[in-house]
Amino acid sequence: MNYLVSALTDIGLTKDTNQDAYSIRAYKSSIGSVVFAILCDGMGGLSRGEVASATVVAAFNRWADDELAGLIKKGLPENSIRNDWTRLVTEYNRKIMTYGSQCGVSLGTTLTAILLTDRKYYIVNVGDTRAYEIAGDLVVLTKDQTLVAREVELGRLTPEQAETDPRRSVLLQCIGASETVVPEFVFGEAKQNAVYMLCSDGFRHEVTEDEIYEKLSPYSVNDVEQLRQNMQILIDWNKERQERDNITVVSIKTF
Amino acid sequence: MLQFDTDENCDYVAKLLTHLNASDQISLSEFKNFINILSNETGVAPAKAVARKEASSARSSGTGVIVGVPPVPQPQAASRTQASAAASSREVPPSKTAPAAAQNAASQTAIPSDPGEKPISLFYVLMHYSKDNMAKYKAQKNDPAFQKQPKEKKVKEKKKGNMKKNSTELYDIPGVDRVDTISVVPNEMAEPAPGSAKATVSSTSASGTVSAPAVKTYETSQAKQPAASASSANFGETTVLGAFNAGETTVLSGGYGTATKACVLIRRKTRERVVINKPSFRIGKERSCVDLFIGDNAAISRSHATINQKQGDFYLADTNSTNHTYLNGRMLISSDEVKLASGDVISFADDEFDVEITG
Repeated sequence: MNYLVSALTDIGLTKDTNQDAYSIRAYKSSIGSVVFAILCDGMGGLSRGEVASATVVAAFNRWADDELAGLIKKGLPENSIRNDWTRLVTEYNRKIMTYGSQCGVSLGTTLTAILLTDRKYYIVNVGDTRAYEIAGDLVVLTKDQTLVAREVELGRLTPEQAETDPRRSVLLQCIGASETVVPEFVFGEAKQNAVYMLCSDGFRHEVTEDEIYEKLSPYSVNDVEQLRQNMQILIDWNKERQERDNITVVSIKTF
Repeated sequence: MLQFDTDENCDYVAKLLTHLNASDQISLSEFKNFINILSNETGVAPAKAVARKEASSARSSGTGVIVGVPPVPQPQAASRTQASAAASSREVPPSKTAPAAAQNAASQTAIPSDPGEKPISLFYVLMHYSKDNMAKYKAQKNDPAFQKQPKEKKVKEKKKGNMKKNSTELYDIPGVDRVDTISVVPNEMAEPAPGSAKATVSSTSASGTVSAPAVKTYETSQAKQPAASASSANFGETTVLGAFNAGETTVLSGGYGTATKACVLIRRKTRERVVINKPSFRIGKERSCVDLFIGDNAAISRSHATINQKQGDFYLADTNSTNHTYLNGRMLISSDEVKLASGDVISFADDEFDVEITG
């Protein structure tokens, strides 16, 4: 599998700091190229959100550096990946919470990460950052772990209501600020000629799925420059429409 | 990028084309007479203007197509008139001198350029001996401007070599029809696509050989034609140019006989007929990037499938649709590209289409 990768982040219109953190890495391995991308949306006063998101990104990157080769040798067993990632989430939930109580602040971060090989994708998700698969259709692979999403699931709110509900950013859990964190895992078959996209919630409130598809469908992005430009267009539209939050998008096109 | 003299009266081009299309047989002397008549009418040396057009269009990448044409057996005339055409386009800097276009090919194979405007080579004088010509030739010998000829020829040939890089078809095999392999981006036919960055839509058609799109190419941008012909032009040798073919220049009326089949899909639900009229024809419900928009069926994906044309045949491919594409009941996997035949039944999800292929 071949990949085009690109990522953009924007502090947005109102915030003083950008508390989104992200990273994309490609590894050459015995099974071909493998991409590991991660996005964390931090939260917490006094700029602590930055610390939380950066910490988790760094921890997962270390894991990739240290463990990925060994796992690939073993054929990337799903249980090992699940265990490793659950361990990391739990460990850093503790560490960040401890740090927070020492500083007297509350801080935390979401997490959406994807490991992409030529056969499969492995996604871990905590919070309301999302992973999309954009191929023949646009599919949101992760479930938002927000209060309003749960209300929608329980039938107490419609999706449209959820979008405009004042509680729409309230998370059910996040790393660093929850007693326990249970990550969501999404594993599936990797498609060729598809775009896998991670984004923070600032990226997808003000643009429609149609617009995202128009700009990020595999047929709209034939090279890295175009991918980058199209992501920028979407970011600009968000800002024109007064999105206030930090905006981050990470894209990987397979071909 | 095209550079035209916008004040120029280009009627002679149309007349030239009409003349060439008029018969299958071209005699050199008859063609020469025709050219002379034209140049006398317009007061402009046609070959010179043509060379300019080719020069600029040759700089676009080789996205054009020539359907193979039999070579016209006039090698000597070709080399000489090539040189003279090159020399006559001296106004354009030598680096822009282009390989032949169909028109230039015509002038190269058939006609010495108007001797009144071009430097006369010794060869020409020998072929068309007259006191006048001899005198002109002698006068030229002393004129330094005309000495550039041989060099220009080399420059031009070198440039032709460069042109080759853009075209994937390299060798002219005498007697064999040639079809250039090109990468065509359907939505951007009117612009030269720089390099291979804008690969074709479907990975399977990346190296596709297409003949039908030549029609479209010519319709949208005449400049493409010279570029295409250029790549079929000789690469250093003074062989005859295969690009000269009266039939080819009729593409404006659409099609040159055997090469083009037509494919039509008929939707069972509504009896609508859909003509597959692009090299990479997209089907789906995302308006901004499909050629057949199916809006009344939610089971269809935004990008559902494509039908690609290669070497006259039509191939169906699924583009990661959610509810799949079926040909005669068999589901296509994403990497499949299946050839279509008349009478086939395609299903996009549950939407059925009958296939008609004619030609």
